[in-house]
Amino acid sequence: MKYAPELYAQAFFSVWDTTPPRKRSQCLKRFVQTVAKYGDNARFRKIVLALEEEATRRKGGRVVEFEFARPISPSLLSRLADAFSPRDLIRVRVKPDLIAGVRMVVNGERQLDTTLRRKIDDMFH
Amino acid sequence: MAYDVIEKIKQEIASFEEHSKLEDVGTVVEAGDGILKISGLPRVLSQEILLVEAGDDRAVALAFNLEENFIGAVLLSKAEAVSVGSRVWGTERVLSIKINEQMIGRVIDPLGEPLDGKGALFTKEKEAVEYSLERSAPSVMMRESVDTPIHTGIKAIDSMIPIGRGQRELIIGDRQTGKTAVALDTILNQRQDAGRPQVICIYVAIGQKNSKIAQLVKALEEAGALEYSIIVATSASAPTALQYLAPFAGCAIGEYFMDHGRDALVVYDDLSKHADAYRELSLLLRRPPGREAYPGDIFFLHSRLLERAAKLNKEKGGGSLTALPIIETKLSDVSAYIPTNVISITDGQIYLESDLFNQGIRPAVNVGLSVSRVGSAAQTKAMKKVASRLRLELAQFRELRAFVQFASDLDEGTKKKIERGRLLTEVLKQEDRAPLPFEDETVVLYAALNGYCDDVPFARIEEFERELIAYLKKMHEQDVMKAICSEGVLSESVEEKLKKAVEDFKKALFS
Repeated sequence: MKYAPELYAQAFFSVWDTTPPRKRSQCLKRFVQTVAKYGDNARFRKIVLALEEEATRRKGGRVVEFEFARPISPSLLSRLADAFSPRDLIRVRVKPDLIAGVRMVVNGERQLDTTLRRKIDDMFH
Repeated sequence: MAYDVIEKIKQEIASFEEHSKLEDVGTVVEAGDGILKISGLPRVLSQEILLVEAGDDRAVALAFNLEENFIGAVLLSKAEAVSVGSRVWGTERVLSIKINEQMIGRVIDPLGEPLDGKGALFTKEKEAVEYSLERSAPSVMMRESVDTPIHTGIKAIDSMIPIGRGQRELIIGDRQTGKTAVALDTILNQRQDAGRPQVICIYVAIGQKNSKIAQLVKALEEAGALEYSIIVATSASAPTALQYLAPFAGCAIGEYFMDHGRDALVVYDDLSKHADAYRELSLLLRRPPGREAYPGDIFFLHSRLLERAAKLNKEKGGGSLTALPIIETKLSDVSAYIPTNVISITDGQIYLESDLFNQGIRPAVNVGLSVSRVGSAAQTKAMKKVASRLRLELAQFRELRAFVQFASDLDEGTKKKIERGRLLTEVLKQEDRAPLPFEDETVVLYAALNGYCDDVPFARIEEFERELIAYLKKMHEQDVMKAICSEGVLSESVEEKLKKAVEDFKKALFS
């Protein structure tokens, strides 16, 4: 791993923004070639996620990650998405070690943790 | 019994108040070799303590590199459970150590955790004061000139390379030349340095073998020196970050005593390993390497550490912090990067030479290359008076030493100078862990420099010294030894008595 996925994403968008629309497919191809050249093919999924996050931030949206202890129903997911702006990127993860409740992280920087795991940790630490 | 426990837990749960709130967090994006790369935590401080999710526990890390998108942090505890994706929390606290008097006599790590198995450090945690590991050095206005000696108990050093309280004197030499022995003797000698306030000694072991640290602790304990000493230890197997922090922790402890008007001595053993630890951390954090792959701020690292040694003025309590950094050279190369850096920072150096050590001259101090830039102002008048000719006579001897093999062809004057030089070199020899009180050093050097040892065979010099000191302590304790010790001056009347006493000793016991 030569560069962090976030750096790939930032570099990609700074080129993408200055590339004329007719040359964008070529730009995309070269980006994939660059990732391969640095031996980061195995981490391509992470790079795509970083691209998604960077695109959201550039549109003025927020990356909101929800972590639940169990899978949630599609109706709850859509209700959650409705609570945010369409520009926001909503991600949902299942983490059984949270025991119960939900943890929300905005832009990877601000967190609201209402899980049972945190309450137990607070009680015993 | 079980019922009571269950009831207690039930009460705890019932009275538990929940405080869910938005908090700043970061996420580990890279982890390896004790280094973390963290995204998020936009308001983190430099040197802030971070808590990292490590399974069911939380590991401690230190924010080191604040970059545009990431934070480079070093783990301070072994945390195998830390992985990519682990949450990180800031604490808004920069790295500090809790200090008070109860720390004396203990062996601790740079984070203030006891390592000696003697239980908790403080009986009352609240009475301990938090000292930041990184602190600005005292300003010019807070300082005053060095004026009180710190006696090492080593004749060669106290007579020719005197050290003052508040000075920074480098001990430099190859491996196995007795660098630690000089520092250890200095610590041991503080017990018998009467007439001056007790010096609190802090020995900082950086990346040393645990067996060596254990030997040192034992030596201090056996000599009763642990009563006024603190050992900050990081073994070679400790995380590199702890090795990097150790001297700063030792310095913070010294500053605590200095701020309370006391005199403290810190031995950094050794700064070569400290520089290596810092190089390792910097390279892992991908800071650009410079000369010998050390980072560009390696000079600043040591200068900001050693600049904290000071003699405070009366308004600030008059305390002092003396620093004895140790540097290990490779093949006697004092012009290497780290040795030259530290030589230029300190107020002088004691240079120990392998050749002298192998010739049996111990301590193997090279008097020609050793210097103390400020210590002479602090040297006791009695020692100054006695030893003023010593450096000159030894310098003359060094110049003529090359001609020793042609001794039969030399004129009488040259022969005499060579003989005298050899004699003085013999007098300056001293076993380790046997530091001499200042008054003993003074009388021995007085006798040697005034020709009373000239007819003593070299093989009996040590015996002469020992017998002379014993005789003076027995027959002239009050009028000579105590007079020199209490006044620090060799007055004419005392000198007269000393002269007569030495003559009597030679006539009666050593003819």
